[in-house]
Amino acid sequence: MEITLTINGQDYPLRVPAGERLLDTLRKLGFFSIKSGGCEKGECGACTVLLDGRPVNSCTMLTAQAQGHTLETVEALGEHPQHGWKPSEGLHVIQQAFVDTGAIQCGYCTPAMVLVARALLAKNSDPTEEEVREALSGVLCRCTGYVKPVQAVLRAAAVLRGEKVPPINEPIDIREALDFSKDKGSDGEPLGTGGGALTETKVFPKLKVVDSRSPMKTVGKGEPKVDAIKLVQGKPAFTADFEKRDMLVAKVLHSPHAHAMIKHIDTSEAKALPGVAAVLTWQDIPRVVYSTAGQSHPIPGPLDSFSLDKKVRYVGDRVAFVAAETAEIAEQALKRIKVDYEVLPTLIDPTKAMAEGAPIIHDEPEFVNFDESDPSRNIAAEIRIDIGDIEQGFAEADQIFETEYDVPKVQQAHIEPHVVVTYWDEDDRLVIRTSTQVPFHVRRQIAPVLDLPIKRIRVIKPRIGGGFGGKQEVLIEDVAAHLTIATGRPVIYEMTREEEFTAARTRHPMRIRMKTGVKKDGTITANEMHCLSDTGAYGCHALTVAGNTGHKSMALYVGDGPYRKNPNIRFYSDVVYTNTVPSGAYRGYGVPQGFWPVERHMEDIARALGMDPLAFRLKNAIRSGEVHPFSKVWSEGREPKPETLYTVGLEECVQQGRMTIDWDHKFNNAAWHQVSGQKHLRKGIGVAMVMQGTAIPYLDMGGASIKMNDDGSFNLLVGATDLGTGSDTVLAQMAAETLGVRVDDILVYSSDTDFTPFDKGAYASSTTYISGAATVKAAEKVAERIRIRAANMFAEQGLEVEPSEVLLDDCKAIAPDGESFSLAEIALNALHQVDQEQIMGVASHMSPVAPPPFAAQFAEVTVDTDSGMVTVDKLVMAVDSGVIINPVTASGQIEGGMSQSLGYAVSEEMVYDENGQPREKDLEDYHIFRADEMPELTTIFVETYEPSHPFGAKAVAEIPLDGVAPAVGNAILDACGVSLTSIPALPEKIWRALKGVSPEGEA
Amino acid sequence: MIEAYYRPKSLEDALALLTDPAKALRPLGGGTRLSRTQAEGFGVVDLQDTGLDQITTRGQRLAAGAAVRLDRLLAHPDVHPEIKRAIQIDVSENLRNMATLGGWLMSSDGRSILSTVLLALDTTLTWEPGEARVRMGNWLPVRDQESPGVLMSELEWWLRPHLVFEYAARSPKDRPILVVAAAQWGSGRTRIALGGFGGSPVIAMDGPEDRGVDVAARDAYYDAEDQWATALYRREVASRLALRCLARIDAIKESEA
Repeated sequence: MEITLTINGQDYPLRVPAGERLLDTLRKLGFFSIKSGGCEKGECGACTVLLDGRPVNSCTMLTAQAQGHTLETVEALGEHPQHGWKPSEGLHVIQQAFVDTGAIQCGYCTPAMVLVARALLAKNSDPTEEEVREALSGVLCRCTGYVKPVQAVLRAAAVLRGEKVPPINEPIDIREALDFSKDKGSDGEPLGTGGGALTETKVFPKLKVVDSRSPMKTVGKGEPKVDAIKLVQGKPAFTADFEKRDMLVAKVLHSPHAHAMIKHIDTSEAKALPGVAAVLTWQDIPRVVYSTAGQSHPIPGPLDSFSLDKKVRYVGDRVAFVAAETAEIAEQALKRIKVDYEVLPTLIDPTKAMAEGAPIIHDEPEFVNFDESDPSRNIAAEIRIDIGDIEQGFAEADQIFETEYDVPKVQQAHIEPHVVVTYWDEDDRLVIRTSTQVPFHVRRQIAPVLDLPIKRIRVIKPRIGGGFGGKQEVLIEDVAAHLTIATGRPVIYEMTREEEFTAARTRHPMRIRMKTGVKKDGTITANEMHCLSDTGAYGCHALTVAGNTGHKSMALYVGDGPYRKNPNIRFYSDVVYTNTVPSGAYRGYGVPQGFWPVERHMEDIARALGMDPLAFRLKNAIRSGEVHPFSKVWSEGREPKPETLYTVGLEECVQQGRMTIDWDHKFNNAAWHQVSGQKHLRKGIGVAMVMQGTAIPYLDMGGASIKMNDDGSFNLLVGATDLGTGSDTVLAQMAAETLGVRVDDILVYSSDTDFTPFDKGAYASSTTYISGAATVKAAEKVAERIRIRAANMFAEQGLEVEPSEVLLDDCKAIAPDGESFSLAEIALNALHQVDQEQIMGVASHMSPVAPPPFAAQFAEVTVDTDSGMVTVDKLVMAVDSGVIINPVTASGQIEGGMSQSLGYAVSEEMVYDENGQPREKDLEDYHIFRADEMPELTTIFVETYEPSHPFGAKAVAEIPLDGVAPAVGNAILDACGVSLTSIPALPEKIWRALKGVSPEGEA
Repeated sequence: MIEAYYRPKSLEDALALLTDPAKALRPLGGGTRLSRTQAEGFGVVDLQDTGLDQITTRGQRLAAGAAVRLDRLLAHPDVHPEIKRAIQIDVSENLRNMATLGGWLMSSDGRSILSTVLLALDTTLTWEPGEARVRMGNWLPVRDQESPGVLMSELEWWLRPHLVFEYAARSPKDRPILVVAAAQWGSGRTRIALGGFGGSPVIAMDGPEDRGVDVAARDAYYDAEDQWATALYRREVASRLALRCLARIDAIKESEA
């Protein structure tokens, strides 16, 4: 049908099919700020467009419906402040506020949020925080926890009202809570911005000052993200924002059965459908066994996957690939593929999967064992770690506590789905443009699958719309690549939201038995964890996730007195195949699973002993100068090497957290637990202490390359993968600090396997630490060349200066007497004038240690004792992540991490029936928190100086996932006496415990 | 797949299209159901220009056209605060800017607070052609089997009853696993609707007084079991929440006295 759309004030006469969605039309027209979350019910809001000034979802609207209305997209708002000779109006106030406040992480939902803010502020110039949250309720964000987007909208509102706003990137050095509403301007008037109670970020003074004599210029500052300006404008920065002539659309036929043999496939009708370019089954492609886990060589896990196989092992497993001219044709083709299955017995319960005589899920002869995997018993991995003498430890205990805990299968739910584009370039090399956390692993691991040498593959990682571990997987690149090989044409494959739930990866569900021996004074004498981990149908990350569960959560409490030096710890784990969607990497990587049982268990022990829960934990927790107990015995199947911990800020974290949440007033205060006039409501407060890791020692490596340009700017090329975390920005900050320039003088490019140095990728909380150290090394090499050249230039002017005396600062090389050359002058000298050279440096870094960050996480809840419904009112996290390179991006990591973990605590789970059919297929049933239902979030950084990093940094990205659930569980216990052993904390579980009704499924 | 699109300028034109057996058209009311249907080869009639978007007060009742968007309902001064609260929980900002009242009723299932609240208010639906008036409670159970017309044109509910709801969910804005909505008229008539389960909310009680609401709620959800909650939980908590609803209404009445 012929229609005219009015978009951003311009008419677009169009011919569109009656059923075309507005989302698709707008993207075809080049409005790439409109993103797809792959959902079909408008759950995520990434596709927001303004229709007559109202935010609506373009994915649930027909294009024809928009005729006669005005449409507005982010493309109509501001522009980059530098557009050459043409004057630029710069970014819109709202966009600038998003940049300034750090409201942009992955940036995938940012254009939608900007539009929502525009609509709100057009009708309400002075919104309350509640109104802002209500307005943002239609745009789901998995990165930010909504704290900074709310701050951004409030800040923009204040600017638009003509009010003064406080600076963002000034170092915050306070002991009072940061409450913008209490801030006063110099004239005594309130500064009209910021959040209210729900949007706090606090940075406490450094415990150790990095170097008080030479304060940092950019490190430690809340510099705007280097990719913020393009993301806030909705530029075509993501994988799918890419056009290629003759590009085909791929779709995958998924198995309806949890376990079955494919007896026969008839693709003739599908192939005959006009517009279908290729249909591939297991019979059409090489049979190459591999692992989809994106990890370093050799893969620490079994090789048990094929691109396509004649056996399917879960509902959602792959059966066939189709490439067609359009998505609609591809979907029609899927329906015409006839498959004859022989259905096999289904294994859902990991205990039954381990039982004698259970059906074998992996009976393929190509299966390659790793370490203790044993497919004949459905065992993907087995871990047996004994530290000290556990039986002696139990014998020395006065009391032994034993409990079994469960944690569920949950999904990463990044808003940008998995998406890949493949094509042959002009040299007939296969280009894979993909939303991945591990571009170099993708290239290495997919090469044999495609029967191509590594050198004939180029992997490009554009911006990523969130990953959280879900994209540490070589998950979909082979689909598009096989189809490109088959057809010779470019192919795009983008998962739907349903596919994300049924065919991607999840967090490993686990059943964990804790056994702990303690003396009457609270000294832990022995601590034991037996972990049954469910890896689903394939063993990706099976060994390493389970290993991390013990390695981190069981390392925190070593015991007191003589046990500190010789702790007694046992960690055993069986990782079992079942017929469910495969588990894999998910932010936290096994550690959240471990800390639910450990911290619930510690709480129960402390209460049973009549001890203060904080004191009990700190009495037994590991301290500075002690050896990480697991470092002596285990390293993911590699040779272990003892590692001493030099920075443990846990005690200070507890101190700051308890002060912030007012623990001493609330804990053991009966009156505080009551809610006036609401007898059915009970309040509670809880805590959990946690530790993570920072990279994998002796394994993780990152490289960096820096070259100097004519104007004294620098190109920083890194293989590190910024998936929204801000890692490109902190790498630029560290380079800028080392070179004495501004952050915007560092042009960061990441990552492309042809052009950037190797980096193992974004996982294990390693980028700031590993890639950061590589960046600093490369920058130091460049700085050294600049100093030498500057010294020569000074000498030509008769000034004798040693290179080591040259200070790089303020974009200049400065001699001790104050004489200086600008870096631009030095660059021109080097490139064009004297002894010409390209000043550049390349370096890499691998660490022999993995210094853990530590944190104390607190929660406040209200429990409805009639229904069991839990409302989380407040989360506080005090974290020791070493020196914070960028407090704005780092606090964004904490806030977003706490939000994800909040879902883990109370709402998120993936449930399967006895036939392996999944209950959750969309973001309605799989509920992730909206902006208008978030608790108050407070972040506190307790800085220590980690000596193994050039700027003293440790990891920040994963640790917020670890302690929220147990803190909430402990707060529930405090509120109503219910000692939960499983999450999520569903209303019915709590109600049953309160009413003394046996758990569901039990007699 | 949608293969034809019409946007009539009046209700009459819309009805002419929808009653044409040769065209096999469906109303496009602003719900989100049509866009996810996998059925092949049908057309839609967009109701946005048909004038079914008026909100009017008729004595003690409020009438809302079926094409009234939920965001307009939220902004209307005569709409009960509990209806507004229900919308705010059920529907995010973006969706309420698109979804219409009629579309929502057609596409929502039992886990909708808004639908449960409207059922408690004894909402009447008008269907075209013929302006057939049907009580929502009579329509919901047979919603998928038979229709009083081709198009819902209006919803009408009482303004005056005291109205409250209580619910249980995994988080404050999650789809509820249990909703209890209570409406009480000045006469003492008390109507309890339950939601959070099944294809649609149900009436637990409609009586001249409020005695027995707990038993009625328990009975109505005696078998309300699914993957989200057991029947035991739903019936026992429904009973308790029904009493809480009444207590809240009593408190409101006391404050008004």
